Amino acid sequence: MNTPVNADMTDKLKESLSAVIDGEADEFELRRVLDEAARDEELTETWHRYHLISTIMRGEEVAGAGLRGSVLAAMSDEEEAQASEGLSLVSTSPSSTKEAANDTRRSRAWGPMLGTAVAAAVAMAVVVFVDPGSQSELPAVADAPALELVTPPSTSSPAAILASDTRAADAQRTQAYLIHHVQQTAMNRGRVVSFAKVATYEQGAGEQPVNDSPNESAQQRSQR
Amino acid sequence: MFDVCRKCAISLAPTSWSDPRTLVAMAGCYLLVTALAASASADQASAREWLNRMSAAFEQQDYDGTFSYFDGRDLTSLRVVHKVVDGRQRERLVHLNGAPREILRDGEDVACIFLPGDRLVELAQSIPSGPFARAFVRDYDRMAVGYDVVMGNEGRIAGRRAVQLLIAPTDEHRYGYRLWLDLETALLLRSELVNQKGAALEILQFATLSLGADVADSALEPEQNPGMVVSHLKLANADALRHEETGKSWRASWLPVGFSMASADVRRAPGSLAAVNTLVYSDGLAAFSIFVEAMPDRGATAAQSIAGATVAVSELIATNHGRQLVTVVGEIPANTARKIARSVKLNGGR
Repeated sequence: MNTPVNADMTDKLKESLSAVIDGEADEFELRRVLDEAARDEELTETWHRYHLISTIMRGEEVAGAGLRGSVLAAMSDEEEAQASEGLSLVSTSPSSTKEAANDTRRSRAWGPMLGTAVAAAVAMAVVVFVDPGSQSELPAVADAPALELVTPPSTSSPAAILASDTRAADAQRTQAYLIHHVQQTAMNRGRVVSFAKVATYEQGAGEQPVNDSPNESAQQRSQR
Repeated sequence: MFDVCRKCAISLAPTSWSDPRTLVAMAGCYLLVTALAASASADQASAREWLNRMSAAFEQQDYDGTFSYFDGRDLTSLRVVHKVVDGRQRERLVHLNGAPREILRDGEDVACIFLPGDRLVELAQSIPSGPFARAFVRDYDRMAVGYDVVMGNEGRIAGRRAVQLLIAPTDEHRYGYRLWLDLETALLLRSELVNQKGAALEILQFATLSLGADVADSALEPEQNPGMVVSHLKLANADALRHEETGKSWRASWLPVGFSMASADVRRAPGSLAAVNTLVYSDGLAAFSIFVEAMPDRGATAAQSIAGATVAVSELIATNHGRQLVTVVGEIPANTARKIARSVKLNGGR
């Protein structure tokens, strides 16, 4: 670093840089440069950072495949869970659907007020929607495969039903935190990504039983 | 590499060096590494200049484009129109998938347009004071601690020539970015959030982009759909409690280098009257939130969920004030989030 380098040579070396980092250098020469560089801590650091950059540049996609694969799996599971749930809501509990419809009319009379209209969906692999009033009617929550809950061994294991309720509450809480985080970062930083994210958090919302008719329900679902 | 060294040797030849060939080559190789460092700093300066240009471009340019955003799970498409009219920034963000929704901005006024029955994310907290597409932070000095920013290869996105910027993390506690900026205007055309191995976790990419005079005033007018509802938003902070109400201030006692606190407040837990301490930390680019909520019963369990780059890690910690549920949410690696969660302590105690 302390060695002065004339600008002309810097350009030439810079030109060669990508070749070196792209692995076109032979092993022996590479080692020699590294040996030289090892005498200078700063140069070693530079070397290391350049390799990190080159990794980012190349994008070794293989490593990401596992994660994306599991996300894909989670997605298809979740869609099945949602589909079966929608069916049970409209076909097996007509009275609650009617009540829900009344609720909908009430809330429409109020208009979509901010503060009452909060999304219930999360764009994470965790998609567990919970209607706070009917947790017990949601058996899907307990075995929602998309939800990755890690219970530490030290925690005493509660009864299965309690665990299911707990998980539902946990998921709901986590979801609220997520939305809050996205909003905070959107506000503080205003990234276009944050805004797109706020938009996607809405996608998949509307799973509460607030539809006027099965037809509308089906229509809304098909839009997603 | 051998070629590189030979080049070094040749270019060195006219100078005072006249040692045996091998020594010249070695010196050349040494200088190569030295030059890497020198060119790296020149490169970084140029890359940061591009970042500055990008920030300005989002506010000053007139543009109308469609972009897709993949968050690791779902692919969404949106249209964004931005135009400076009479010195005021006017914007329109249109959701192209699912239920029709639009967000309009005229200066500081923001309106959401949607169908009745559509449940809107509560945006009161999230309307930024700048344009929707203001990209990244301006806090480049702070960013310098956690990231190297260098120029990458030239590319082509949305039919336009693009320069690539690489934002590489300097440690394992944050993710990197690959950005492609429009060569002509410096607008962001593609952004990838990448993990340590270089795999993309989130991708945003423009598919079409019109610029300048091609952006008609009419592009800012919302689509007319029968029955659409308009909701005007104000910046409100209604649910924030006063700090004195709880008197406790929680802090992370361990943070990755470069992160500092951006905000702290106390608000109501969703669906209850319980207070939740909320802390936001940022390193100038990445951000995470910490939520601390008293959890006296055995209600919650430790949990972890990941999608794309966003992680949520919950840990239960025992304190003098009883059991607390600490949740860290952010675009950071899970191990880092867990370490932060476990480090949360009451500041000063009481």
